[in-house]
Amino acid sequence: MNEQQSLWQFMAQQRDKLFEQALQHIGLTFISLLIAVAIGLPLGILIAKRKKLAGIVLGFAGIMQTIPSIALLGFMIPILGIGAKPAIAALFLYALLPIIRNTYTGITGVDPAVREAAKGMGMTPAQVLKNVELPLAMPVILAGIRTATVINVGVATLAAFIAAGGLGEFIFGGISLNNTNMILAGAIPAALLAILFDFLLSRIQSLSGRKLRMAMLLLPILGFLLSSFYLVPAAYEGKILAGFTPEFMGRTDGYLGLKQKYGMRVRTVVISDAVMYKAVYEKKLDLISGYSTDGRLKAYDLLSLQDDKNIFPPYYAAPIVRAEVLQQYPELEDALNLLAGRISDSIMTELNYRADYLHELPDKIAKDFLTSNGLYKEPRNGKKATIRIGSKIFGEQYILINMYSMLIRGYTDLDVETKTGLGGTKICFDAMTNKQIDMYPEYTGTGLLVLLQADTETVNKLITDKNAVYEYVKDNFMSRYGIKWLKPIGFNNAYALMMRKRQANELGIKTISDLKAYIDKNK
Amino acid sequence: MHVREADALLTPMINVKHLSKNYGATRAVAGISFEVKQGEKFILLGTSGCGKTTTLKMLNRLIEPSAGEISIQARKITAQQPEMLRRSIGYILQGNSLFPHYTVAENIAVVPRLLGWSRDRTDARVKELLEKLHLPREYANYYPAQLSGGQQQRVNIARGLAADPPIILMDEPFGALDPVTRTHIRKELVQLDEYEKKTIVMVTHDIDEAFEIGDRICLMDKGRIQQQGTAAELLFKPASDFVRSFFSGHYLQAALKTVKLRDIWYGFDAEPGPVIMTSDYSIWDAMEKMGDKNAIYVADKNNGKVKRIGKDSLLRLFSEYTATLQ
Ligand SMILES: Nc1ncnc2c1ncn2[C@@H]1O[C@H](COP(=O)(O)OP(=O)(O)OP(=O)(O)O)[C@@H](O)[C@H]1O
Ligand SMILES: [Mg+2]
Repeated sequence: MNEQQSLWQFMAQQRDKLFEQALQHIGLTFISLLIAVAIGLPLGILIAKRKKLAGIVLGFAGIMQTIPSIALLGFMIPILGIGAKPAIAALFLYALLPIIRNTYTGITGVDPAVREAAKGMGMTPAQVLKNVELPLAMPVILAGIRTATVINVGVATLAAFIAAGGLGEFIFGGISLNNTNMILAGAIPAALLAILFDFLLSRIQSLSGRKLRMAMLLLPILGFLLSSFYLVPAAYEGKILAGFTPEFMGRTDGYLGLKQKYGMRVRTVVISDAVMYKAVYEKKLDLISGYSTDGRLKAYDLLSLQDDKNIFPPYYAAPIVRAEVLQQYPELEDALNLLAGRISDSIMTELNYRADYLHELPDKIAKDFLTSNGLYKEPRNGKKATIRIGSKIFGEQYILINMYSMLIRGYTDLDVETKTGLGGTKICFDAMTNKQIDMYPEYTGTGLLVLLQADTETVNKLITDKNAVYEYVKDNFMSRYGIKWLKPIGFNNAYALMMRKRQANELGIKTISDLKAYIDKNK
Repeated sequence: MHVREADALLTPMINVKHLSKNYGATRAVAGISFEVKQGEKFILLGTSGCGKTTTLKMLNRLIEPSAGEISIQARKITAQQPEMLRRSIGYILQGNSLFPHYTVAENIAVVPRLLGWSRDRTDARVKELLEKLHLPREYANYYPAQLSGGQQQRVNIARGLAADPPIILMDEPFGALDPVTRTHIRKELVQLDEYEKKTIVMVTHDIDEAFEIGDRICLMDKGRIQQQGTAAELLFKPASDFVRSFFSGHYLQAALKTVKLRDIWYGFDAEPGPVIMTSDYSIWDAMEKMGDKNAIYVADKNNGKVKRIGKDSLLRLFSEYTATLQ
């Protein structure tokens, strides 16, 4: 890949994608805005007329506004699934408060003398509203719509998390890939859209009299027009729809590799890993990029396709321990290696399923496993020394360190202290080099790509061979950091393409190559 | 005056019977009755909070009464939709009640539009009223904010008159203006050709204004009518101490404005000369015109007879006249 690419080159190269995303972004913003106006305006009028309702309605809309956007999107998924619907619903809820509030303020702010004159001239309540109150409140209402528009342009970036598209695809893809050009290619157009719409609405707001009335007629039409942008790119062909995380989309060992090495072309949407398993289960998607030992694989009855051309680097898990500690307490290594080769992909998936899906406690899962494999021994309650075990914050790591604790306590006279919740890779590793912890479970792929940051050439050479990767990280960790990789536990928590087991069986798909063949045949 | 006398036999234009309005424990209007004849200018006068506005707004049903009833031309006002009623009654408030988002022309055209007049008819009427109220034609496309207070009030009057309603209600229409503009616009209103035949109910707390415009004045206090009658009756035959004290500070000026030259016409001698006013004018008006001259010549409006009004006899006859009234 071209290392030093300018932003401009990136945008030019990705212009089709950029254009599509911008259209989706505008569409999402305006569909939700239109609905918000269609509902917020009458609601604002209603509470301006029945002030007793004002507290309740404004309170409700206010609460909606305070829910963090990601959480709101999360709430939407069980109800509305993924894609445009939940995104529009969430954006609609955000746009509601400024519109209701400003309508209410605008109408109640009309000079009582003017309102009374209108009544006194013989206008009906509807005429007073249409001829006097709404036109006079219009600048305030427009200010509300303006606020809502700007909020929506901003929040619409988050639509990318739930496969609704928009400029967030570049922004979040760029963030997870650490690609500044990609971030900017999404962020700059999004900011420009916000500024542009804000400016246009401010111009309309400053119109008066007849011109304003004209603009008010044109505005909904324009709104519909902009909304329809969303529908254009939404139409997709092809039988298989893939949902990939932004990170997967941009990685050579992700979608780029799929295209290069397998020659696969599939219609994709971008989605966050928090929702994609559910989405494929509910047939909103057919193909996702998951992790091969994820418990949801079992929970949702998914099949991970065999990577027959080896594009996904191996992520074999193994405990890594400070060599110093091993020298002092050699019995530790033997205890930890009891687990070596014991846990296959499917076993780990099963264990993760019990933790993440059945919400069983990690120590119970660990004990059950050790017991059934004849590895469990009562703790000796030795006080020789304390081994500090760290873990990243996810279920699989919790299970593993519980197993290690039990093994150490049962097979040695050492005691254990666990330090869970050390966040991500970087934090765990730093804790280790700073001697704050003695060991934690790590993955070979992570060691190679994230911690050692091996150059492209090395990576390409090693990547298809799991043993080569293991040997490489083992040697380099020892020489650079004095950290020893013990024997791998057995499972490979790598990227994997997943489908519904049922669909895969029906279509006779087992490997990625099978899938590619199927896609090509059904163009 | 002659209009009123000519129509005296007709049923009253407005008939108010035992009208009350309570706001909780507050009796804003407490059982008042009055009649307004066709073409009559009826003034609701009184101190702040005495119930004038409340009374006026019950006439066009902006406020619904707690008790009592109101008829217009012998028809109960509750017999029709309030909006229909209001379209048939002119309503003139203060200048700040103009529709700020409408041009002058659109403001004036409001009621004709509601009544479904044709565009041509409406436009013609707007043009006519702009002229009558001395507003330059190009003002038609101005917005209220671009006008002075006095101009706004003229537009307001035009708006109230637009559909040529037989009855006009006015609530302190000149209240927000400076004294000079106020007198000026009041004069313009009174001199309008349409004014004479209108039945007008006007709220004010300005005694001068009441005396200048009112044929009859209804003095209110605490929601009740203290006295109703002509200016002279209220001034010279006060029904209570309240009425007397209400006018006390203004007595002389009010009396000079109330007594008309024709009331003391018998005491002057006929003599030809350059006529500068008619006998309908008040003694106050005559003295203003006289300035440092000793006499002016005034014509009887009915027969055109001219008399010389001398300064000395004017004041002597005035005191004789008021003495007979008390
Ligand atoms: N909506 C209302 N609710 C309660 N009390 C009211 C209401 N409107 C008027 N009042 C009371 O009724 C009384 C008469 O009010 P109104 O407005 O008729 O007085 P007004 O004679 O027009 O006074 P002003 O010269 O100050 O305009 C006052 O005591 C006022 O406080
Ligand atoms: Mg009042």
